[in-house]
Amino acid sequence: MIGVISWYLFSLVLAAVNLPLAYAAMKKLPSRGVFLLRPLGLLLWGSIFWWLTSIQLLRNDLASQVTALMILLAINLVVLSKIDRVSFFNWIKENKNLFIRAEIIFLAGFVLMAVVRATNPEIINTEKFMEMAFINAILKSPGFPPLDPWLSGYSISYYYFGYLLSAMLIRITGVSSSVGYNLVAALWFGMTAAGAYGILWDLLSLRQAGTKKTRAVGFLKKNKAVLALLAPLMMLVMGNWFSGLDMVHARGVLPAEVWKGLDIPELTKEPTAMTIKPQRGGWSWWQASRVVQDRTLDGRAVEVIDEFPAFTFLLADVHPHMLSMPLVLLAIAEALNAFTGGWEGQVRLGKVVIPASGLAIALGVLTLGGIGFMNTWDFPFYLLLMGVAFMLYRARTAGWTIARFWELVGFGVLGGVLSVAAYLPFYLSFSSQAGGVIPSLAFFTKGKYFWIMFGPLLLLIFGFLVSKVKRISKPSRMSGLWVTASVFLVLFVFGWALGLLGTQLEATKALLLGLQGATSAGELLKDSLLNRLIAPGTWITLFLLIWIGISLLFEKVRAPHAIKTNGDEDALEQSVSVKPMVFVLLMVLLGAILTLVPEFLYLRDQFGWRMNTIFKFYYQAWILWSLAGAYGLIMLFEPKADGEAQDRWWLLALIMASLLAGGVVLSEFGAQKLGEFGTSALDYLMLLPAVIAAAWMIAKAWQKDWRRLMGVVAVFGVLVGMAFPLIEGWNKTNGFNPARGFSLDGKRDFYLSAGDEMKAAEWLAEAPIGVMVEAISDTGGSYTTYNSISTFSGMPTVLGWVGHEAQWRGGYEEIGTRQADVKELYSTSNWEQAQIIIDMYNIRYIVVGNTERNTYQVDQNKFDEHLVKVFESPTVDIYEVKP
Amino acid sequence: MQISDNEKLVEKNHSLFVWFLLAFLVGLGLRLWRLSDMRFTLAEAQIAQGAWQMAMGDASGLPGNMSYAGLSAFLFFLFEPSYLFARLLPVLLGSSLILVPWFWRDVLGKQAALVLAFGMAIDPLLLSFSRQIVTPIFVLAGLAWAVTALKNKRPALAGSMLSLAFLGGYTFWVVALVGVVVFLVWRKHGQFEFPSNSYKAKTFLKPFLTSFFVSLMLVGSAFLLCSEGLGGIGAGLVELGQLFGRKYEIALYQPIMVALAYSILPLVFAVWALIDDLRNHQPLKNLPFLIGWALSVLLSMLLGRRDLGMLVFAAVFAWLAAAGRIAHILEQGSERREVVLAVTLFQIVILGYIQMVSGRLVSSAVNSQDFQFALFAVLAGVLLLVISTVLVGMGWSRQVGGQALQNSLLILLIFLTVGLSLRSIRSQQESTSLSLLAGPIVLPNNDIEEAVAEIDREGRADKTEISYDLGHLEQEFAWFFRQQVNWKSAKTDVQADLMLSENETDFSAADAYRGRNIVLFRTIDTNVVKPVDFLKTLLGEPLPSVSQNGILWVRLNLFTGAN
Repeated sequence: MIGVISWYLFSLVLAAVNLPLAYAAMKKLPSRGVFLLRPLGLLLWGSIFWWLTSIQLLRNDLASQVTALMILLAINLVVLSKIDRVSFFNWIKENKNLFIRAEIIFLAGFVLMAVVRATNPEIINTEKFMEMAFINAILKSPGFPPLDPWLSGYSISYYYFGYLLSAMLIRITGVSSSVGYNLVAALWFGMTAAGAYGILWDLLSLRQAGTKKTRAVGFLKKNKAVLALLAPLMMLVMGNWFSGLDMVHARGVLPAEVWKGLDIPELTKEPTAMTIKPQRGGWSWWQASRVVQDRTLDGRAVEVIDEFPAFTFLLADVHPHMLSMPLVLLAIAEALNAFTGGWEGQVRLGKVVIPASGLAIALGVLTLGGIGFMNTWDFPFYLLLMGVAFMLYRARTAGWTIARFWELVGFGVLGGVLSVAAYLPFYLSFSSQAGGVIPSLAFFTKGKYFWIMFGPLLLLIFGFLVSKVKRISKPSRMSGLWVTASVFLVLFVFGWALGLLGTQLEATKALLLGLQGATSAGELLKDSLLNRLIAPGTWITLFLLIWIGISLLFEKVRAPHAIKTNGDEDALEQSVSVKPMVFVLLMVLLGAILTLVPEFLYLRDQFGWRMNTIFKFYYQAWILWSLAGAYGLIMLFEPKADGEAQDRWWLLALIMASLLAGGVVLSEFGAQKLGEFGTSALDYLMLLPAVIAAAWMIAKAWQKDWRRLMGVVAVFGVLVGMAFPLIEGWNKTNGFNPARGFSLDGKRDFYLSAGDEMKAAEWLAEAPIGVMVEAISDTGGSYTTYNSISTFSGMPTVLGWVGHEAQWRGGYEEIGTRQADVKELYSTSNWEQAQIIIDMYNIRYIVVGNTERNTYQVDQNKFDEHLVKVFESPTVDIYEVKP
Repeated sequence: MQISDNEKLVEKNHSLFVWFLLAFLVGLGLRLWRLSDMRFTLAEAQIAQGAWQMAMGDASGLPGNMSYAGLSAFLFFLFEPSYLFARLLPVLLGSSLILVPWFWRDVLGKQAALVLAFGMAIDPLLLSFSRQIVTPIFVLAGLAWAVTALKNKRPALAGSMLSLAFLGGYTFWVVALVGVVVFLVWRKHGQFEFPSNSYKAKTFLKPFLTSFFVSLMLVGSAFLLCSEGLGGIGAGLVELGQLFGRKYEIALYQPIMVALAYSILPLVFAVWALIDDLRNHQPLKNLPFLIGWALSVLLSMLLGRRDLGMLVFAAVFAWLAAAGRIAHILEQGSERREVVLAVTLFQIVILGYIQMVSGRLVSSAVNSQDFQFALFAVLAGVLLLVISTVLVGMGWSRQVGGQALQNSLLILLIFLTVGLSLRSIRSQQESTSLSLLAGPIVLPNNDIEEAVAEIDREGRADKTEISYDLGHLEQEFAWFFRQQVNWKSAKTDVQADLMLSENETDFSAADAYRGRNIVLFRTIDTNVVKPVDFLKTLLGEPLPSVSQNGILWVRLNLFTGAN
């Protein structure tokens, strides 16, 4: 509890300190970035600390962190001295509700996730060990780059900025790292929720300021604060449609052929019992992140990850894609700020004039660079978003000329270079696992998977876009068609040409054919194309989405030029005003590009297939589309004229029916075995939301209110998406009734099962730094509890999870013979032999515990005879090698 | 030849400055006395070790007081680490305080400023903390000189002095916190007026801020010897934060008792002046200073959980409050000087008598016959004092009686105060005084190698005191030294085969240690000094000298299986 309070209070301080900077930099955002003050503070504080420690002006300790905070405070005081302070303080007074709202949203998210984590806090399974090891290693390292906890003598080769920020928070609040680990998930959830809310609130405020429809203005003014909650709801709470299907499957509604056709592993099996709530037990929540199924041409299934944020936070691995979310939202907010003219200003570099304010550029560079340092994959996407948003602002104010294109190119090059330069020491110590681009020929996402994955969001976006279609002029429609076709064609030609080239070169032929399960180039190219033509769902979906999106974009941004030549000043004024819809279209299109590219290309990593590319690209698409979808849903229901039919009673009825159905699912009826579908009254109760939704749709169709009809369909899609948090949130938390009570300590279980190991780790965490050695699993140890002592102490061990180390470093070169050497060190009876290994790796601490005894034939006598035992417990001893 | 008024003034100022110089030399001399023989408290040794590491370019042991660490590291680098250099900077800064009143003589009055200077020179608290390493004297001196420089429009000096205070440890933040509160209260009640707009001018702010930041960088990095030392800029704030999580290691009453005992002279006259002002319906000029004193004592109670360092602020406030009154006593003339002198001498004798018998009073059991005799003797002395004052008042005038009493009290209290100060720097009392004010002590000697060699050879040592020479601290010991703070929590782990501490095994020179990891550790017995001891101190009695107040500290971890 004290941990939760201290984290909240410190994050509040961090937010407050950065207010002047956010106010000055985000000057055209209605919220001035108030909802993103915490991520901004963390980014700047972390960057200052990391830079100064990297160049050895600070140390990696608490006092230096405080010094970095003082520097940040000083920067903000300088900013405060430069801005109009009267306006600043007046703005704060006038917008105090905004601050209160930001705190409530953040706090609600933070506490909710803290409670969820407290039901299952254990740092075990998946990659939690790795993350804990990174955090503890950062806490233990004297400087930066931090020492690799699982490969002594090397620094971490991973985008570790998020772990650095986590470690900084843990250190400054004084909580133990195993508690801090879970608080990271909670804090990040709160920050992301507040950030998502803030961006939608800004979009709605811009809409409110930009529209002349009085009904819409009144509607937004009255409901904006509540409606903005849709953004965090859809981004962080809603899941894909898997859990909805899972319910249908569990109840045995559809014939087995349908499920076989769907070909999703857990759903092809017979339901374990005819129940309303799926009863698969165990890790039932896992399958929602494995919806997309890739197969090689010879029929082998390869794993593809399709996480979405609700799953991520439920799993609670503090992985880079989770850690980067608040920063990603900060980048989106900055892009929106650029789009609205918040970057207005000039920077002169000799004869070169950059038409943007220095502060905005600096913040943009730091944010993009921070994203690169935190989750490198995301960096180019948001560079593109920021660049295009800024270009659209320039086009709106300076007109469409070829100069805009060059500005975009300049932004991309300069922004990219500066963002990398802003965190250069990281890139110097980072060896990327990415090994180029591979054409995705055999692998593609079938339409059914694409819709199960993104269905709730696609319905929202399509509904919104289609409602605007009739406004698109023919030239814009045709231009949109050409551009969309060109994009598809270029990607197709590039992908297939790369495939052709790859299969002709001896160096890559075997790799390419082997990876995609083909025996010849012809088979690969031809069969891959045929397979796609048989299942074109994703292509069609994305084609339509991009076509409509681009056409609408053209319609919106072309207008000023056309109107200008006509001399219609009123129309011109209207056209150059900020249109939030244009920015929403940008997010839709970027999301579409992110999901389209992996249909043709993917990044080569150690696995060799699309697993990580789909994971990282789809994840960002979810973030962008959830914001766009939430905005779109509001627009679908925004009143346009007086006397328009109100839908609040329909909505209320639907919500009540859904709550009732949800209650049934979670009650004892949910687990009750039933007969054939339709034989129980519960079945009809469960159908009630669908019936109400259908009735609502019919009413809208009767009124020929097609816009809201699409809205109702979209709402129903969202309700199906809510099945994931309902069912799997309940499963993961055991109905918020944890067997061993609530706790945030991730080591709780280890104290019972491996208490001596934990004590040894605690001892080592306090001991002076040196290389330690502990057992390595014969199979590499990934995803197991091997290396628990280095994980929880942060002390660098000779070798940890072998597979992961190889993955981070792109091979086994650095690992060398370590695995065998460690085995030899423990097993040999020859002290001279052991001494050679000790000297080779400069080992200071040797751990001998149950793990070592179970893994090797340990000869402990040699250590007793020649070394000093510095830690002793019933099952674990630590020996120290003295110089 | 006729001497102009201006020349007279210059001459007068010269002679006044000579007096200030004398006060400074007295203060400096007292502070330097036997400085290199002084023993380290545990906390002092840690911070000195941090400075020594900084001198070698290693910032791993940064203390909260970066002013000390940065400047001393530079000193160690220029010369060599020694006990003298380890304590030199606090001495110089503490002594420099004595000169500050010279620059405020126009505000305080010349005599009062001089009294203040002498008061700070001989004050036992200021003296003791000017000779210590864990001390807020950097904050006090830094702030005092910064404010003085501001008054005299010296922005560069003010900036650098402020940086010295800023880096001086957690006390700066306590003072800053109090300052902010006072500032806000003043502002809310509309009483705050910034002295001059010239302070806001760029011509002032630029050199002020430049000097502040440059000094911060230079001191923080020990003049670029250890760039990572800059991380220590936030160390004071960290120290403040950690303070709240620290348990009280000294009794809550101790700050009050020490503040009363060590500042008895200024407090008596400050309160006397306050009562006189109240009686005569005069403005209460010294009330703010007395409030400052009370606030400092309160903060010392709340925040000085391991030492009484915050009391230096109380001492300065006490002298500020009393300086005017004492100056007035020294300045005032009398119609019957010979009578006043005679009565003063008579009363000094009586006061001396009361002091002597009071010592017996507090050391006797309450129901004993000795106690009753002593009580009667004290009462008789007090009665004699009252009668003599009343009789003189009746015979000559009340003014003469009052003057005599004031004079005799002043003389007696000066003797007591100087006695306290001198005793605190005498070798017999030093460790007691230090440990009382600033925690456990590490006993110095320079024969660690000899002791270790002896244990290695004989399996035991013939010494019960082993410590280290700062300049020759081996890495092995240096490491443990940094861990010392966590010693108690780490004690359960097998760091050593044998641990000698206050409640465990008694240490004996005859014990055999060969082949074992040994940590010899003995903490101070905080229960030894009782409230009654402070009463004795008030009467000029020394604090009890307790043999086990010393800390025996060393880690002998050299037997790694050899033999």
